[in-house]
Amino acid sequence: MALIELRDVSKLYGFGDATTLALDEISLEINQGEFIAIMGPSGCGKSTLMHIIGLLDRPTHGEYLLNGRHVARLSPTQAARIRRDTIGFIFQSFNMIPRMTVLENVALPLLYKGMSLTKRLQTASNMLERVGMKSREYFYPSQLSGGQIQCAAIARALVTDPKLIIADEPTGNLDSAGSRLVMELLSEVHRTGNTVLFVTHNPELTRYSNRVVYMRDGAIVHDEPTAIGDIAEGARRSMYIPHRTEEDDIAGVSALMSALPSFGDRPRIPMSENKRSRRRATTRRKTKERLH
Amino acid sequence: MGRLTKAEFTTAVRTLRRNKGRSLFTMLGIVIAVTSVITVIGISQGVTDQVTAQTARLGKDVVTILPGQINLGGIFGGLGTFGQSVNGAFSQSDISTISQTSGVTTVLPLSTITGGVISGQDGRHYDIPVIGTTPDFPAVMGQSVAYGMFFDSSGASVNKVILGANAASTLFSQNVPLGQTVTILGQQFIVSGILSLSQIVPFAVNADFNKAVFISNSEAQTLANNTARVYEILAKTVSPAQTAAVADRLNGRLLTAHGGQHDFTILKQGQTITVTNNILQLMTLLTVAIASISLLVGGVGIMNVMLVSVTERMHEIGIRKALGATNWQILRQFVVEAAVLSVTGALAGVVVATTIELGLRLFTDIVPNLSWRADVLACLVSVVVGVIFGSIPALKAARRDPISALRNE
Repeated sequence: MALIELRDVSKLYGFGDATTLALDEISLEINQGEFIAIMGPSGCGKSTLMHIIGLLDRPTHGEYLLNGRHVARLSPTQAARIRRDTIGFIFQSFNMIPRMTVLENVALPLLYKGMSLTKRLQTASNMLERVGMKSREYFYPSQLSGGQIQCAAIARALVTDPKLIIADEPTGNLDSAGSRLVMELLSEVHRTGNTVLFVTHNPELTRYSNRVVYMRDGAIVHDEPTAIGDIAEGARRSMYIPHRTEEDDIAGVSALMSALPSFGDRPRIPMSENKRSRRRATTRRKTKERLH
Repeated sequence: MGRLTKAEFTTAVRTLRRNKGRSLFTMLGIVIAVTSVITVIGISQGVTDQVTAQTARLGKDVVTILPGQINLGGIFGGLGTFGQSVNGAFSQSDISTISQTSGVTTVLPLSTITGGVISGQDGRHYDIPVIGTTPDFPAVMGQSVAYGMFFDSSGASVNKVILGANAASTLFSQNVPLGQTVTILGQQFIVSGILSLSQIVPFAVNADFNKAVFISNSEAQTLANNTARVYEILAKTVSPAQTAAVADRLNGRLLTAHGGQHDFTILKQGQTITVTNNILQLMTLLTVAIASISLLVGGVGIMNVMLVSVTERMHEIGIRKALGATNWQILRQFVVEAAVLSVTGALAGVVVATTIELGLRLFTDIVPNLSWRADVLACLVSVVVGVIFGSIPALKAARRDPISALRNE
C-alpha cells in the first residue's frame, strides 16, 4: 500500500474570471521510504501540492489517501492531529520562532502531543545531537547561520518521529555549503527509513533523491526514478549547467573524508570520487556538444 | 492538558514581559475599574456600619423630630452639618407640646445660634457652631464627657460652655483647657467640660458634635433674643417597645399644634439610617455604574492588545499550526494571555484599593470596610470581562487558515 495516494486532485483559487488552477487533476503515488524531488518552474503548483500533501490545505476536488485513510475532507482539528503525528515540515524560510531558543523551537511540536517539559527538552536535545546541533541548543535562531537554522528545523521536523518529511525548498535560502549540509542530513533521514518529499529548483540536488517528479502549470509532466548519486536525466537535460566551483572541490574532499573510518558517523555522500569525476567529464563533454 | 496550560502560561508571561509598556497600559484600565469598585463598596459599607453604630448608641427608645417635611426617599439638601436647619425651626411651644405628650420621658432640644466663638486664649474669632441644649444631652445622645462635667439643671449652668473634642483643640493650645474662657455673642463663658471624641459619621445629616461647643438652651435663646433655631428635638420614650406608639401620638399632637400643617418629620430609630443610606446607595450605584463602564473600557483595551498581539504573531500561529497545533490549542494560548493580563490587573487593583482604603482610614473620618467579598467580586468580574474580550481576537487567530497565517511575515 502506498503511503500517499492522490487521485485526480485539483486545487482552484479565486472565483469567476479570476479563477486559477493551481493543481490540475494530479494523481500521484508515493511509497514508504522514497526520497522524492519535485521540480518545476515557479508557480507550477509545487508548493500547493506540498501543502495539500502536508494537510495544510485541502484539495478542491479529488481524493487523498494518507496511509490508506481518506484525508481530503478532514476537519481542521483532525488535520492538525495528523500533521502533529505523521508529518514533519521543513520550510524555505526556516520558520523558527525567533524569541525561542533552538531547543525550545525543536521541542515545540512535542508540546502539542502533551509531553512533559523535561521529556520534551530531553527528546529535543537528543534530536539536536543527531543533527549535530547539540552545541547550539541555547542559541537563538538569529545567532545561527542559515544552514544551522535549517538543520535545527530538520530536527524539529523529526522530533515527533513522523512517517513523512515535507521540505518546501529547504535549500532555497542557503548558500552551497548550507545546502550541502542540509541535503546530506535529509539523505541520512531518508536512509533511516523516512519518506522525504522535497521541492527544489536546483538540479544538482536531484542527486540525493531516488525519484524526481516534474511539474508544469499544475500538472505532473514527467516522473522518473533515478539512482541516488546521479543528477536526474530530466533535470540535467532541461536545467543543469555544469560548473566547477570551489564547492565541488570541497564536496570531493568531504566525500573523501566521510570514507575515512574516523569520520564514519558523519553523513556520507554515497558516491565514489572516481565515479564523480567520470560523470563530471561526461557532462562537460555533453554540454560542449550542446553549445556547439 | 495541565502541561499545555503551564507552557501557555510561560509563553504568555514571556510575551507580556517583552511588551511591558503595552501590557501595563492595558492593565491600567482593569486596575482603575477594580480599584474604584472595591473602594466605593468599601466606603459605602464602612459609612453604613458607622451610621448603624452611632444610631445604635442613640438607643431604640429615642425619637428624632426634625422641622420641615423630609422626603425619606431622597434627601439631597440635607448633606452637610446643619442640613435640616434650612427647613425651618421649632418654637418653644413645640418643645412643651412634645414634653407633655404621654410616653415621653425626656425632651432634648438642639438649637443653634450663629456668630461663632472667640477664644479666650488668643482673642481670635473661630467659626465654630454653637449648640444650645439641656443637661440631658450626654444621657440621651450616649455621649460621654472626657474632662470636667456637663452643665446640670441647677443655676450653676449659667455661663458654662462644654467643648467638643475637636473644638477644644481648635480654640486652645493646651490639652485640657478647663477653666479657660470663650466669648459667644459678647458674653463670656467658662469651659467646664470637654466631650470625649465621638465617632462621627461622614455624609450624615447630623451635626458634627466634635467640632461644636454647647451652652444651655435657655442661654442660647437669651443671647439670640429668642431667635436661636431649634433644628432638632430628641424625645426619649418610656420604653423601646412603646416608641412607635409615642411617635404616632407625637405626630398627632404636633399636627394639631401646627394647625394641621405637616411641616415636621418624626424619625423613629432606624429611619435616620435610611436617610443616610439612601444617599449612600445612590452614590454607590452611581460609582459602580461608572466603574462598570471603566471595566468595559478595560476589556476593550485588552481586546485591542490581544488584536495587536494576534496580528503581530500571525506568522508564529502559522508555524504552530503547521507543527500540529489545533485551533483549540491556539485559542487557549491567547486566552491564557488575556487571563494573565486581567488577573494581574485585578490583583494590582486590589492592592491599590487596599492602599487607598487604609489611607482613608488613617487620614480621614471615613472608615472603609475592607471586605474580601468585594475584592473577589471585582476581580472575578474583571477577569471574566478580560477573558471574554480577549477571546474575540484569539478566536480569529485560531480559525486562521495555516497557509495564509504562514504567509504573514
